[in-house]
Amino acid sequence: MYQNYTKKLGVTQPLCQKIWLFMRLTAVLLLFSLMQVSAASFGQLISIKQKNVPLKTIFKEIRKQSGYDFVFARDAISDEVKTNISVQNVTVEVALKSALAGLPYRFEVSENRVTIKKAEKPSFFENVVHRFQAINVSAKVVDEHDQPIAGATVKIKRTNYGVITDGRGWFTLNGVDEDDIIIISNIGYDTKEIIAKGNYGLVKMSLANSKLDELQVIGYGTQSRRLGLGAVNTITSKDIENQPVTNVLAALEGLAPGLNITPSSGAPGAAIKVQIRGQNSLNQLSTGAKPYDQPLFIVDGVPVAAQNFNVNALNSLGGSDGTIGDLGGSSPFNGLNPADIESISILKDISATAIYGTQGANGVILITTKKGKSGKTKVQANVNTAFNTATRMYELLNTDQYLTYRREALKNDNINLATASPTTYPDLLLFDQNKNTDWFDYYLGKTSYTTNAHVSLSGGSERTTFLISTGYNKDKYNIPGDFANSRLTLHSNLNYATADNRFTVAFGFDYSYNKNNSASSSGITGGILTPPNFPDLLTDSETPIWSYNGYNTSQFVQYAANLKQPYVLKTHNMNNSLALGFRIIDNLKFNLNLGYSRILSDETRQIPKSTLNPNSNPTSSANFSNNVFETINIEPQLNYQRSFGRGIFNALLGGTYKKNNSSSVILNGTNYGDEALLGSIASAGAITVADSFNPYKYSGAFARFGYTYDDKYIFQVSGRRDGSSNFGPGRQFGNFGSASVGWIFSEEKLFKNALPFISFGKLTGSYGTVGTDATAPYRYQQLFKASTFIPNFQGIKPLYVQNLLNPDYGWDTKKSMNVAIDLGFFKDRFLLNVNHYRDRIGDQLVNFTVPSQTGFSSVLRNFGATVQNKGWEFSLTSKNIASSDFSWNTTFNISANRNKLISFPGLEQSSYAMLYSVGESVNIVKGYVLKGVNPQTGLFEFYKSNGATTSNPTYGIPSQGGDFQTIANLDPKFIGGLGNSFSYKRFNLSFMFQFQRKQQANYLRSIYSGTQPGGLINQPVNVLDRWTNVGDISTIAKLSTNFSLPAYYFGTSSGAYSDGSYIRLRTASISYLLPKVLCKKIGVSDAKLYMNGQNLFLLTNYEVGDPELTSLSSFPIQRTVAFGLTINL
Amino acid sequence: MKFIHLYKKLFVLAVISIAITTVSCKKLIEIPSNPSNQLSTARIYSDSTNIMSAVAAVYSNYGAAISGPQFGSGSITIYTGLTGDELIPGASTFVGNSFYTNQILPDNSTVRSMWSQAYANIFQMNICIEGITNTTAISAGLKSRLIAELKVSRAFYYFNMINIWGEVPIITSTDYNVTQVLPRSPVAEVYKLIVSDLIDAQQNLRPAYPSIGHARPNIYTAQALLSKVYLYLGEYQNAITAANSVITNGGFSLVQNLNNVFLDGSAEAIWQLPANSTSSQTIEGATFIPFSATSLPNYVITPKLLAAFETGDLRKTIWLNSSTVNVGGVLTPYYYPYKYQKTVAGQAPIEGYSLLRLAEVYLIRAEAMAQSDKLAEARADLNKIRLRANLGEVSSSVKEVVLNAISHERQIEMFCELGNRWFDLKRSNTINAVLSGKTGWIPSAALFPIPVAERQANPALTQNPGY
Repeated sequence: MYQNYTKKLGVTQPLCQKIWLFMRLTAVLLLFSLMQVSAASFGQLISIKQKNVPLKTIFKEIRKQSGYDFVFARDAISDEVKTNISVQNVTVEVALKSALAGLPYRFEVSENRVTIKKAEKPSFFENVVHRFQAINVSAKVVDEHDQPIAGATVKIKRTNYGVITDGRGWFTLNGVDEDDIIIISNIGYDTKEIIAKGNYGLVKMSLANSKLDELQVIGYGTQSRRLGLGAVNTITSKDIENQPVTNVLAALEGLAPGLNITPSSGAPGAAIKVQIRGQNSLNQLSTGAKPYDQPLFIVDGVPVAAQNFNVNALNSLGGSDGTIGDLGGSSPFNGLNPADIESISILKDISATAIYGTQGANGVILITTKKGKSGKTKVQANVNTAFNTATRMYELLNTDQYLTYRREALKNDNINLATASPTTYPDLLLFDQNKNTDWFDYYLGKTSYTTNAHVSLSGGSERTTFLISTGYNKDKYNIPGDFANSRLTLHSNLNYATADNRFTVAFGFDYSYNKNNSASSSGITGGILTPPNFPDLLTDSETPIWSYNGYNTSQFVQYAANLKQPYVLKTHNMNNSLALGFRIIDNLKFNLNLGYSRILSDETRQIPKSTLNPNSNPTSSANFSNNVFETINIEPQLNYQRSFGRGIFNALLGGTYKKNNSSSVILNGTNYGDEALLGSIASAGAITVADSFNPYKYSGAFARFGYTYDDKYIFQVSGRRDGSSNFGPGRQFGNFGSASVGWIFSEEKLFKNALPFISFGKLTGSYGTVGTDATAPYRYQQLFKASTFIPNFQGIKPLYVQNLLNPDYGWDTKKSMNVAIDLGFFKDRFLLNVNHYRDRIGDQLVNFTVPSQTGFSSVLRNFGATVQNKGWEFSLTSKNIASSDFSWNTTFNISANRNKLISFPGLEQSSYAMLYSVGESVNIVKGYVLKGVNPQTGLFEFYKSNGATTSNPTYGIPSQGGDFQTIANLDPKFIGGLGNSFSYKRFNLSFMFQFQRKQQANYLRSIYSGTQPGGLINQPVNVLDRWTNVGDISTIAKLSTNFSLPAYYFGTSSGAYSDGSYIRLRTASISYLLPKVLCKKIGVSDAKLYMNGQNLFLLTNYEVGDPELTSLSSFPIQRTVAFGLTINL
Repeated sequence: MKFIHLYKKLFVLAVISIAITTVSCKKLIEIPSNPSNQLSTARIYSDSTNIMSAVAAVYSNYGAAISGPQFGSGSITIYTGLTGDELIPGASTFVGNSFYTNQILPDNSTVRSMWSQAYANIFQMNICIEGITNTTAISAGLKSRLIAELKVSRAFYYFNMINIWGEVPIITSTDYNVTQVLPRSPVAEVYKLIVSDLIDAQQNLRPAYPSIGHARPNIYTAQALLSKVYLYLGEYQNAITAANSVITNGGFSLVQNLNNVFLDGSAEAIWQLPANSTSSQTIEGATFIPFSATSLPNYVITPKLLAAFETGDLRKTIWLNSSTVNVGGVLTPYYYPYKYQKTVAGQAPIEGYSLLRLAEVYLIRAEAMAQSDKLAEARADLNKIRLRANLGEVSSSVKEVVLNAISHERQIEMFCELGNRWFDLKRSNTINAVLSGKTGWIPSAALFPIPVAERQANPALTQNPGY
């Protein structure tokens, strides 16, 4: 009988309880605050916003606000008579008109009294008079900056007949009764009611108060959460600006359900992995590493040229993996200043992403930068300084402990120190036995500084707005040496509209320069494990000391020497966008979006001879690399919108053309004569060159039709045809489509009556298909290529065959389903969104493993395996307290994704049997099940597949005679975040916890990979729990200096994985707005002092190292505390 | 009115631009027919220069110019030297230990690299044979010559593979649908392919080398390899015939100065690849020669091999070298192979990578003669080699004695050279007797394991016993 051992590795009880307690506490606080009612204000002008409430209640409210008495017959108005009203700062008369619109009552106002009477049925004559009295109402609808609002819905309340405002914000309603109430609504604004009169002039809308009505940026447009169909989360500048991060992706952690953010390392400039709703593809790279499915990144309508892949080609401290287009190196988002970002939309389901077709198959992240606003020209400046320290520093053995531990290992191995060679055991026989260095502190103990400055200038007239901002940022590394990631950004945009608003232009230009100045090796943190009594690594003049009393010290001195090998990455990042809009006729608009994004990176890496062990006859070498990423996109669109009776119909017809180019050239110079010449490739003794070219073209045509009926029922269908150059002839095109529906059930009378405390309720569902083409170009041909490093054969340049031939691969297909419910309670103060989704990806396009006898290890083909991602997402926002002095808001989200391999024909017989099991996640780990350390022998023991115990398990899965079981699942079980923000007068306090429950490779895996405790290397103090004598119960096996198989097997056993759940205080921020008086004195319009902290605190059972990082030697995550000042001139 | 006119125009423009994106999709996603640094098969085989480049890759794939051991260069020498009785891991214990102790795990990455490197180059040979067979870009004469060259290479690879792994899949196609499920073929079947490839090659190659040096096979290269194959198969008369042709007609001669045997352009070389890496010379030179005269070599000659050299053998003084290492205060000499004497990077290589040389052909003929009871001829060939090493002649007329002397001579002359010793021990069935005293030796270690990953990818592959 097999047991499921993975269950043993979950969150241990205490942490579980803590999380539970924490959640309960939050819930109680939330409820308490909801009971509070905001204090009402009194006055002559009336403001009421109520839906479906008894008329009498409205009268009470008007009475309360105005002081007017109401007179009406007791039985004239029953409780069943209900009405809607939405007025702001209007007279009693207007309020009454609105409340009584469509109802059979009339009113009279005299003195301070309102008399309500039953309206008699109008006679025929009266009706005719009415007709003749009918008027035409026209007005211009504008926003708070007097900018016209096009496409706003205008309706007669009595009849529900409606029109849409034109491009200049104008509307005309014909045949309106003189006392009709007209309702004007638009996404992002509070609905406004006005009383009909001829020419109204300007109608000013005010920004929405409810979160539901805030504007969300979606694919090619905006929408409100109220009427939206897609699973979209929006993160605003408010959520980002109080996080002291350089890379905006780091700021997204914990802010949106279903969004998993994983830092590749804590080093400044390092890449950050992003995934939405789990891993869809099985695709295996030839290196064995799985490609990580990432969403499509778009900045201001322009796809980021490098997406979220490495921009570096060379190895460095900042970017561990120097493969272009891979993950884990330098982030392309270093070129984007978080201070320039207005909002980030995360598009998750097919309804939201369908418009991006195959490009958006793994979700879409839309980044919108700040735009100028008309009005007074504003200058804003922000300056801060931050202090960074390494988090999760762990304790290493000190010299006493280390020497004892080493002697014990030698004793276990029966090695007699007296006759041993001193150079074999230098720590025991040669080094100072009392010297004690904390090498963690030596390499990473430094506090580093970040400097950050940002200035923006914005303003404009009614028709033209602009914004220019510039930022400077310098993040230093907390390792010995003067290393930093610095950045200079320029952000600008210009918007123009003709007087009739018929023609609009939006132009954006962003340029940034990023310089990463670090050392040439990613493995410097390995130096942490230098034996504590190791002699000095460098002389006073900082040259490496390569030997100590005849012992070759290079094994550990090399780490320090690597810091003397300079590396510089210069990245130029340009993002240009031009959006032209032209209203052909009132209901039809043509848009043309043009985008160009270019990332150019230029690297040099130098390895001077003096930084290498002279024993190995080194020569100086240098690498130079130039990489270019370019994207051009052209997107013409026709947008048609008109109202049909009580509904609004819209159609979008468009096309996308995208051209992507990435290429790189790497020059390797070796055998330099003098290391002072390392900056020059021409001075190299020998040069090799490698280059790569990845052209990609994509085009798609799409149509989207939507119909919203009565603001209650929403329908949308979309279809598209995509073509990709990544596929061979006949396989290039694919057709995909989706349909979604929404029902705002809270608008139904029945529901309004039954559950009045629910202010908003919406059910949505979507289903659709999409394909992906994520693969390298040209693979449908058999290709030959010259090798980079191999010289000519007798003057002939050899051409090597590159791949197995399979011309027939095509799109893999994703079938995606999403259902969601949105609920608003107590006038939308408490909003809940729940999503349930299921994505299934079939026809997996994979580098399918084949035996090497075919000539290659894999062939690119579609494979009949299906991967499913299924999950739940919950998010809550709550305005707990909202008074003029004090407010408290809470946001909470949690999501759980379950990845599962649904089918995999022939899995057991394939090489994938070692990786996957049908019915389990594609992120499981297979290996041996650890029993523990045998108290008798001190060796690790494992369970065989038949349940027996062994120290020598068999490689392979049980059906192949091996002992492999599933030992871990690296998918997070759930992820989420809890944020609170408080403001009291001029103070603002906010903090955000982010949490994950997951399994993770633990420190033992690092310790036992390639080495084992007992060797000439230091270890965390945790290894002291080792087996020493017969009968000892311990976690660490008998110390030994020799290679041992059980120790080797341990690295792939269940013992190497443990609970990596954590709660992290991701962000905490305090700010203070300086008093107006003081501001005036210093000549600014307002000023804010703040202190922001990042990664301040971690609660975890993960023993050594950081649960967010993959290994003990990863560069630690930084704890940052920033102090700053923001000024508005 | 003018404005309306403009608007109309813009409307037309809008419709056209959307129409373009939708209708002519195919044009929009056209990319150049090949990436700037790669060529497709069709283009390769329609151009003579490209064909020569594709064939050149076969020779480069041997790895003589790559700075680490490859299947075609270094790996066979080093790893069979460890599994047999020639080498002990010195500084390179990490990779070497499991070979030396004959405890190779089925997932050993070095063994897997050797396997995949071998088949990768066989693929390059097969695709060249396929492409050249169908091309019209080159003359019929050049076609048959190139195919013949490729078949010599294919025979060389399969010959080494069966002597390392025993049965191996015979791959002669580039279609992965066919090749991915092929099981291991009996050794005899593989030999059949080797012999037929070499006979084909013999018929289509000329006495002159096709290019400078002795890098690409000529007729004698095919015959030399054929004689070796026949010897292994016990077809002694065929071995003698092939060797006779090489010795009599080939124009090769033994290089008398042992320091010069492995120099590029050596008169003894029948098949010698240029070692033109920028970072090292030959793999053997780079691997065996330590950084300094006082550092531990990566691999050390076994005491047994050291003792096997007769007194006065020049090969001991010239083809071995030693470094003196301070071990716990005692200065100890460590011997290492020194046939290849150059390690220094950055200068034009003066040594070449020897795949077949005349001395071996003499020993092949000597053995075949002895087996055919022509002891005088056998002794004559054997003594040519002994004479060069400054050793006395063998004069025995007893077949066993002569055979033993030849076997011993092979051990010394061919030590640490392409697995000859390891292969000899196996084909003579003396491996268990010879290695029985070695720690960890088990008879099943005579064959390397079939890599686990390969068996996972192709369940039709059986494993060798003992793994």
